[in-house]
Parts: sequence; structure tokens; C-alpha cells
Amino acid sequence: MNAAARESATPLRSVGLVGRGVLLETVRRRELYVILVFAALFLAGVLVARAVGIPNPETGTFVLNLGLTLALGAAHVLAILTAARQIPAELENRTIHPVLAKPLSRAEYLLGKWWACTATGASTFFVLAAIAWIAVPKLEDYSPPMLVQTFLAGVLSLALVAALSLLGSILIPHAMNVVLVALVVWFGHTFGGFVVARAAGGVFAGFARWLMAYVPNFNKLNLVARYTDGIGPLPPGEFLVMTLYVTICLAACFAASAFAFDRRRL
Amino acid sequence: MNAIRLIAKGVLIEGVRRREIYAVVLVSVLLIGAVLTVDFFDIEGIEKFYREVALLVMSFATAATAVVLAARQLPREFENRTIYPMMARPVSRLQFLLGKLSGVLLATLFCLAIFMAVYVAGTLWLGHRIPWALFGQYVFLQLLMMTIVATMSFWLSMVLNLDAAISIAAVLYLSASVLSSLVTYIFPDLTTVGRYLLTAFVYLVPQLQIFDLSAKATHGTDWPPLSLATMAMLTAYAAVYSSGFVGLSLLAFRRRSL
Amino acid sequence: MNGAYWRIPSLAAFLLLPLLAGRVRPNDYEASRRDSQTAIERRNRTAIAAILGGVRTSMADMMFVKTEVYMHNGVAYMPHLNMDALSQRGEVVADDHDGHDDHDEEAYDPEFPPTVIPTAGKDFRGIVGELERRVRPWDDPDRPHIHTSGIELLPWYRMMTISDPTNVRAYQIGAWWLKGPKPEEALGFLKEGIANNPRAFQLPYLAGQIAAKLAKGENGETDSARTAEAWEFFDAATALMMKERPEGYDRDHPENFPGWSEYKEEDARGAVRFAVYFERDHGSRDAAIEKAVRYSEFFGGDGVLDRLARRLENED
Repeated sequence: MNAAARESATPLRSVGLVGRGVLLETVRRRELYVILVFAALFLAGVLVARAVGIPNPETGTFVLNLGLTLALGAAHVLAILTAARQIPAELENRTIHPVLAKPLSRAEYLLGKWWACTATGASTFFVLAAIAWIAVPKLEDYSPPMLVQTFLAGVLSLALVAALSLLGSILIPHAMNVVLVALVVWFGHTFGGFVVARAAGGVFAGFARWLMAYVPNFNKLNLVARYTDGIGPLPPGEFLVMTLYVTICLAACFAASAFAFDRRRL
Repeated sequence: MNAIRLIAKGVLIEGVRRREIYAVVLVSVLLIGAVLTVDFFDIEGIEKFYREVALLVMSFATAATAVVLAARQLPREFENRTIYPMMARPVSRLQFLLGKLSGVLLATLFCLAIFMAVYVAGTLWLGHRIPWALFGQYVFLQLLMMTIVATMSFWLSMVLNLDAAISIAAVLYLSASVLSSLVTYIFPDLTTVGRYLLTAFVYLVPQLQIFDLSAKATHGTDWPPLSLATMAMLTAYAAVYSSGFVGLSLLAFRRRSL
Repeated sequence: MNGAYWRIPSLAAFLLLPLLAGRVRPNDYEASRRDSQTAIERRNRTAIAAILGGVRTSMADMMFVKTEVYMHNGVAYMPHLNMDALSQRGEVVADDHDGHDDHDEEAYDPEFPPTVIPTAGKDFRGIVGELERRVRPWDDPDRPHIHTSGIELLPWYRMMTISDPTNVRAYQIGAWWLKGPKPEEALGFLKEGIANNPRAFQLPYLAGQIAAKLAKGENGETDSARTAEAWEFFDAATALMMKERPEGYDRDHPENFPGWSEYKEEDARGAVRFAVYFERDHGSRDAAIEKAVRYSEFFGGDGVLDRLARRLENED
């Protein structure tokens, strides 16, 4: 890299290039097939639902809720799988060394990987949710601004899950990471509820509640039920608080990842 | 036979040495343990809950292990180019496939055995009764189901990329019961052509729900074990579909240039 | 991004996360379509719901399905149990036809509901269908079926209340099954439910009934503290109910009042009657008369309360 090129490699550009690499690799490895498989299954499912019949508005809402929930779930699965294997795969194939030999900090490398994994998850979510939303008849009232918030909250959730998976991939074995992150996403709030319920009434009740608040609560970022329940959008202040909640979690994930990555021998 | 045994041993050792199986087992056991720590009012006669949760988590974890292990065997051999020295030896492609398949099934059996040991120990510790005959049949049918799932994943991994193969196998496993209810429901409303297509679907795609004895094992005390004739039919069904998938995998493998 | 100046503040901010986490409550809202009992029954009794088996996104729906399966020893019938009767009376009875999504031309008999896995005569799958009927829990739908005890469902209701502490019905059904063998625990369970759902009148009503039962000792003696507790529960239930009951509720046309049901109405009247009885037995007669008259007016007339008021007035 000559001096001019070195100067042009701003942090933002470096992050963009790493992320672009991830996306190109996703296309090269034909991983988009998975999105297509899910999309085809979704379309088939929704068409079958229509063929079987949606006899009342409640059932229409139920099918719409199921479709959007599955779309969000599939996007999370893909984001976890994509993010969790980035660093282990680069280490195994030894492709990480030439990348980090460039004028690129490890934090930038992580950030690049993260945005691309988030983008992969978000694209999956948009495609699948669009299929479900377009195909299911809407027999009850739903708030359009709430739909927008549902998508935005979904992207925030995917961003957090990608960051968490990247952090896990530095600290623990691959399979363990995938399983643990999946458990946090789908059972984290239930686990927190368990602990709080068990400690209720005891001297550690307040401590348990405080401690469990550190487990990222993905349930709070899933607004699908709120949308299909016909509730209006969150006030801007509340949505901002939610965004701040995710931002703090993201920043902590990146800080922990950067510390762990710096200490890791490559 | 020796070649198959050696290849199977390699897969089994790799599966057992890698920490993935233990990670899955550990997390599953912790999950079940966490659920059981909840105060259920000290009530007698709630073993159905334990059975249902434990069998559900264990079946799912075993299936996930079988799918992932089976689906990644061949693509990894190609990706790491380790298949070339193997094929240079006097080992036929069928032997290679059967060796890999046997290894995957042994590793799945290993995983299932750990789970079942944990399940039995947990049941006895809780002072619950185990309907042994039904439980034995449940374990055997799980193995038959995993054989079909593993052979199917093998074939899918030959014709699709790894993630797509895993996704489709997982979706088929998870939606088996839904698909079964769906086809029986929509059949009467279809045209003659539709009915032929649906009948073809039922016989071409393995119906995994017919191996799922978990509901009876959960509500076990009132359900008798299956008859030997039923078990024989299920074994034959699994043999036919597994052989079919091995055959398809072999065809795809032969067409692939090395 | 070079340098580590941002890392420590990020981790420090994370330490304060619990302060923020409690303020993120996008799913805390009332009048939810999801948890309305009418909506639960309407969507879970359709063909598409039966096809989906246990696949559900809400715990309330999941418990609806699980209750049906557990009460039939694992056999999956088309949903037919009356969940109102189950949660408010502990009765296991079949519902009428309303809300069912018919597929067959045959008349629907709530006592003989069809199974999700069809009979051999209606199953085109041949050997596959036969094997499924043998392996999965299945019974001939033409034979009368037995409903098992709901005790085995208790852990699921407990899990449900842990996962979703605002699910009033889970507390109700759980307490119904629990109050037989473990009344103290049932009362504790309901108190937890009341703390989590301070506006649900059914929970203090049920808690009052259990406390009243506990107040009567085995040898006929009365526990005064328990009696006072029961009385408090009935008064609390009455006050909450009066805020919730729709004005002008017409028992002849309950369909015009979607948030209210006949079961709720019966509970509402039960709560006020108990409140009056306790006032009569442990408070003052005049106050009991005043309450009986006032509550009867609230309902637009209530025979039981009217008779009670007249009897109390004539006692002199």
C-alpha cells in the first residue's frame, strides 16, 4: 500500500471494506441460498394458510403474527450463524493474518464484520417479513408507524445479536457460542424471570433483579406482538430509550470484544 | 469392511474429541436442571412435565447434532482437500460414504446415550417410575429417525451448499408433525391431480413424525408399548428411506469431479 | 477507532444498564388482542391452528393447546374444552359449537370431537397414517373420552406465570388445580398474581374464597386473621370489579360487550355477595344492608342481594 492509499484508508473506509468482504464471501459461498430456501418455505406456508382458510380476523392476526415472528427468528438464526463463524473461520483458514497486517485496527476489523452480519440478518428479515405481510389478509386494524418501529427494533435486535455472537466467538468454542447466544435470544428473558421469581421475597430480590438486567433482553426488542395487537407506535422518547439501551449493550460488546481480541494470540 | 470401519472410527473420534457434543449436552442438561429448580408447590404427580421438557430438549439436541455432523462431513472433505488422499487409496466411494455415515450415526448414538443416561438418572433421582418397554422403544425409534435425518442431510449436502442443507433438514425435522396434519386436512379439497401430488409427497418425503414416540413416553403410564409388528414396520420404513438417501448421495458423489 | 479511549466508558455505561432496562417496556400495554379469551378461543379453534399443532407465538395460546392435550392424556383432539369454565369454576366440560371451524359436513358433537390425526376411514395415507395412529397418542373419536386431572398441568401454569406475570388466567387455572391439595400454596400463588396484576378482580375473588375456606378449621373453630384476610380480598375484588364491568351490561346480549363474559359476570356478582355476607357476619348489619342495596343497584337488580337486604331489614 503506497502512502496515498494509506492515507485514504480512513477508519470508516476500512470498516466498509471488511464488511464488503464478508458480504462478498456470503454471496461466493452461496449462503444466500438459505434466505431463498426460507423465502420459498414462507411463501408456501402463507399460500397454504390462505388455502386452508382464515375464517375470522383473530386468525388473520394469528397468522400475521406467526409469519412476522418466524421472519424475525430466521433472521436471528442467520445473523448468529454468520457472525459466530467469522473469526473462527478466518483463524482456521489463516486468512486473518494478511487482513490484520494492513493498516487496520482490530476494533475496525470487528466493526466491519459486525455491520455486514447485521446487514445479512436485516435483509433476511425484510425479505421474509415482506412475504408474510403482503400475503396475509389484514382483517384487523394495525398501525403503519408501528410496523416501521417493528422493523427498526428488529434491526436493533439483529445488530445486538451479531455483536454478541462476535464477542462469543472470541471467548468460547464455536458450537457453545451458537447455542449460548441462541439461548440468550429466545430464553434470556425467561431465565431472568426465573431468577427474579426465585429470589422474590428474599434478601437478594433486589440484587437478583439488578443482576438479571445485565442479560440482554431481546424480548423487549421484539415489537411484532405490539404491532399485531393493533397498538400504536411507541412515543419517540420511549423508542429513543430503547435505542439507547441497545447502543449501550453494543458498545459494551465491542469494548469486551476488543479487549479479548487484543489479548488473543493469532 | 475394514475401510468402512476405519473411516467411521475417524468420524467418531473427531466427533467425540471436538467439544461440540459435550457443549450441546451440557447446555441441554443445564436447561432442564434450571427448569426443575422452579418451585412447583411440592406437588406429587407432575412427572409428565419433567418427561416432556427433558425429552423435547434431548430429541431436539440429538437431531441438531445428527444434522450438523452429517451435513458437514462431505463439504469439509472437499473444502480442506482431504478427500483426495482418501480417494487415492483403494477405497470405493460407496465404502467412503458408508464409513462416514456409520461414524455420524455412532457419534449420534454417543450423544443420545449420554442424554438417555442423564434422563434415566434424573427420573430415578426424582423418584419417578420409568415405563421401560416404552422408553426402550422411544430410544430405538429416535435412532431410526436420526438415521433417516443423517442420510437425508448427507444427500442434501451433496446437492446444496452446507447452510442450505442444514436449513432444509432442520425444517423438515421441525415441521414433520405440521406437514402431516396439513396433508390430511387439505387432501379432501384437492382435485384429482392435487391428490396424486400429495400422495406422492407423502411417499417420497420421509414422514418423520411416525417415529416420534415422545408424546406417549411423556403420558407413558396409560399407553402400552408398541407391538413387535409395528416396530418391524417402522424399522423397514427407516431402512427403505435411509437406503434411498444413501443411493442418492452416492449418485451425486459419483457425478462430482474430484 | 485506534486507541482504547472508548472502551472504559462503554463498559462503565453498561454497569448502569439496569437503571435503563426497567424503562424499556414496549410490550406493557392493556387491551391486548393476544390475551383476550374470546380471541384466544376463536383463533385456536380454527383448522389452521389445529394443523400447526403446538406451534404458537404466545404463551396463552400455547397453554390453550397444552391444556387440551394434557386433559386427554396426550391425544390431540380438535380443541373443544370450555376454558372459561376451567378457569373460573375448575370444571372440565366441552364447549358448544360456537367458534369451531368446520371442515367435515358432519354435525359437530362437543362430546365426540374429531381427532387431529384422522380415523383410518378418512386418512388417504394408508400405511403411513396407520403407523402414525399407532405411534402417536390416538383414540377412536367415536368412543367417549376421559378427561384426566389438571394437576399435571400445574408446572406449565407456573412456568407461564414466570414467563408472563401478567397472565391472569394462568394464575386462575393454576390456583384452581392447586387449591384442592395445597390451599396455602394456592393462596400464595394468587397473592403473587395479585401483586403482578393489581387490577384483575378475579384473583382477589378466588383468593378470598380460599382464605375463607382456610379460616374454617377442621374442628369447627374460626381463624379470625384468615377471616379478616378473606373479607379484605372480597372488598378489594368488589372495588376492582366495579371499575372494570362495562356500564349497562346486558346479560341477554353478552355479545355486545366483548371485554366481558357471563363467567366474569357471575364472578362479579359472587364477589359482591361474599363482600355483603362478610359485612353481615363480621361487620355491621346496617352496613350490610346498605351494601346489598347499593350493589344490587349497580347490577341493575340482583335477586340474591335484594332478598338478603329484605331479610336483614326484617330481622328486627
